Amino acid sequence: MRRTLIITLILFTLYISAGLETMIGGRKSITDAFYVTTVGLDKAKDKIKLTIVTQSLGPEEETEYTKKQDKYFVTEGKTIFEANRFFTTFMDNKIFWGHVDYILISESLVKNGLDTYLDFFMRDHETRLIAELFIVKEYSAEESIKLVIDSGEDITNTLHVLKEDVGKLSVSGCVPVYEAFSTITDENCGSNVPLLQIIEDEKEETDSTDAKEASVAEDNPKSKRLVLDGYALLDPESSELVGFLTGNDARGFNFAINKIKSGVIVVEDPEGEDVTLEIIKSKTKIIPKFNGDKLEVTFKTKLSTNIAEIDGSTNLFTDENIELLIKQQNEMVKKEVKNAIDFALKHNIDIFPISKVVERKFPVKWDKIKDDWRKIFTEITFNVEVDSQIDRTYSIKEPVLSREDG
Amino acid sequence: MLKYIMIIGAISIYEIYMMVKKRQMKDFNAFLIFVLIALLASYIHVHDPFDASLSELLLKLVKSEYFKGG
Amino acid sequence: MVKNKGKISVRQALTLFAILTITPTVRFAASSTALIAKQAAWLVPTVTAVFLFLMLYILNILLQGYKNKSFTEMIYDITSKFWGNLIIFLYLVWITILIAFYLRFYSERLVTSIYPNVKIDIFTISMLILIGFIIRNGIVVIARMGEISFILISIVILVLMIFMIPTIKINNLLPISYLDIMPTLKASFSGAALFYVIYLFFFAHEFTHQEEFFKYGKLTLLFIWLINTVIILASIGNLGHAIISRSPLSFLIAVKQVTLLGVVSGFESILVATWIISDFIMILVLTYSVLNIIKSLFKLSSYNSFINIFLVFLFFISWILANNVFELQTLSVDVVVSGNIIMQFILPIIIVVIALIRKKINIKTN
Repeated sequence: MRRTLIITLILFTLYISAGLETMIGGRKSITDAFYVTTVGLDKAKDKIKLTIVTQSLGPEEETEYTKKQDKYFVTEGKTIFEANRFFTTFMDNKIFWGHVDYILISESLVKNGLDTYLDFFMRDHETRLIAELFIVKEYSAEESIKLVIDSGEDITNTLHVLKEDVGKLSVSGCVPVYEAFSTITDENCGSNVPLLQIIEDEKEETDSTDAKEASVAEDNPKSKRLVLDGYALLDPESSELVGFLTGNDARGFNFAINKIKSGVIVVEDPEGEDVTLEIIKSKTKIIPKFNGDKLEVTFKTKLSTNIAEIDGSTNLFTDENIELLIKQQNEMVKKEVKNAIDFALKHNIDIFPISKVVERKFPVKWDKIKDDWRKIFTEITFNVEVDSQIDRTYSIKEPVLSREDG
Repeated sequence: MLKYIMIIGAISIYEIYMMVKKRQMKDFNAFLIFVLIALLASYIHVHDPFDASLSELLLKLVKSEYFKGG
Repeated sequence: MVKNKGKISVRQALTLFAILTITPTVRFAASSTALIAKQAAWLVPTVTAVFLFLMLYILNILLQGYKNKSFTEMIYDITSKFWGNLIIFLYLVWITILIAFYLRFYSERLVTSIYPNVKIDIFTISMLILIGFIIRNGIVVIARMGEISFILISIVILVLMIFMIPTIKINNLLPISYLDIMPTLKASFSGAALFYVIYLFFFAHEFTHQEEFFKYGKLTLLFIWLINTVIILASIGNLGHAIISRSPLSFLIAVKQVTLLGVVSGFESILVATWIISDFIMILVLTYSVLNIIKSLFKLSSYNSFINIFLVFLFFISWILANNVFELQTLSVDVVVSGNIIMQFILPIIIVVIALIRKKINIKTN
């Protein structure tokens, strides 16, 4: 009896772990596969243009040469799945979608709604839902991928670094596919997707004394860079693109939705010289309050910063001067958050989303008002309160410019 | 269909042989019923005479929303 | 000891029951409860547990009244021969449909989650061959496999939970208000449908230490409650109810998101493997029940000759059952849940009540 038991268990373990190797055609060898790491989606007339960036793993991948050689392929199809299948007509390796990290979608495609394009990534059994979404402003996704790869860099790695460093300025964020899907399915809150922009460096074409720089400028008169800055905001009902929040407005939005990791605030000392503050901690509470049927929402931000750079010579470390800096800092943050609120009100989309906060805090009341939410949202009275403090500075206290008397 | 009949036939012959060997012939009638049911099931599986699956019949019975809309 | 040869203890039987609930729990606990109770879905197993506890008590009365008797014998003794035959035949049909249902779901799941372009028959047939091979060894072997699998499955689910808990977002699980009471009660209905213990009673004559049924039953219930709650918490907490209620493989896609240290991922394959084990045990145990029913119903001397032909029949019925997976999923929600409630709650309760009225058993036997 025991023998039967053991044999069966062994057989069974083999059966599930080996996946019936000879009988099943679904298995693929690791060296035979291209791993899609970044995907680009563009509009091509009435079709979808699909760009994939692949990495192949295996013995030869170890060498520096192949590592740098990112490959990208482009096809078109009526749907993403169809376009994907067209790859098989010319690619020499199988494609595996299980390692998709980034999905770039061009602005022109999202103009008519993002929802239809997410379906493939949600439904497909190979893709991971933690792949992150980006919308590319003005340019196509293919162009942005080409830009990076042609400059000899790895797009996936570039995006990875951009994503990792997004907290340094906190002007954008990360939105995985499943999160976008969750907000899109909620008809009361607007979705946000991080925005990639291609910035053209403005070179001073004359007076360039540096010979090296001049030659670069000659080859590439306007060098372009891919930057992660801001958010694209989508309509709650149609998931159509309604607008962008960029720069400090996007940071204001991040303040409101509690996605600030760090950042820089430049204020002035009493003499008008710059003082740079580094954001260390920020926490915002969205507090809804009902006055009868009227809704009042307060954004309460608590912020703490450190002094990172002092350009003037004044001694800032007095109660009065610190208060002055704090006051300026409060005003700046307040303005940024207000700009984000103004954007939301202008387009009548609940981007924060306040609906979720109201639902959590007043579930019963929410049940009654949820159908009229978009109307109610425009009538909300918003208050922004910022309570900040400057905690400390780093290695030196007195500024370099404050010379000793005498 | 033929391959299914062959499989069922092979199993039946083997089981009947074992029944005879173990002197359990009183189970024969019940066994025959099961063989017939299996043959019937294979026939339904192959030819689909009702043009509906068991689910469809059961779901129609409980008036499922599966058949609504569209 | 000789007396207990070829028998299993009640503890082993309940271990089998615990494994039986894992397959359906992983498949649909999160999505079916999220559909109705939304963010409050994680409260549903607690409500369900209350019902199950009452049912456990009722079944205990029955089991203590009839020591060393199978459920079929109990039914014959409590009701008349005609009604007994009818009820047992109903159970036969229902459990057969249930096995076919799970057999089909098991193959469909492999085809949806890992091997989309593979001929689905391969999975069904290999499972049936394995079942045919094992089931001849009797309940003792099945129970021992159950014990090993139980430990394995528990460890896997525990480990997955440890990986998933840090990424749970509390906001996905709130708010809870009195508005959630009705949906939670409604959703608990589908959770209660997993109470398969009654199907194990068809081989209750092979149980020893029956007096410990209630004691281990409570422990099993605790396990089921825990597994259900953590699976729902982890699924909805990670992905939100909107995605979970839409997915036919809800826990799987939640596990798919697990990455360890940002590098190691692909834990869903471990889950699928465990899932297959629990599928296997489930089909095995239910088939064993059916064979016992067949034996009693047709007054056979042995069910051994019927194993192969029944498995062949199962193969066909699993294909006749549904044309596609959509029918199967609708069947699960619209028919199987209510059918299970009737077979697992209403019928046994009626039987116990009749037994009490006819003084076949009494509550004091506990």
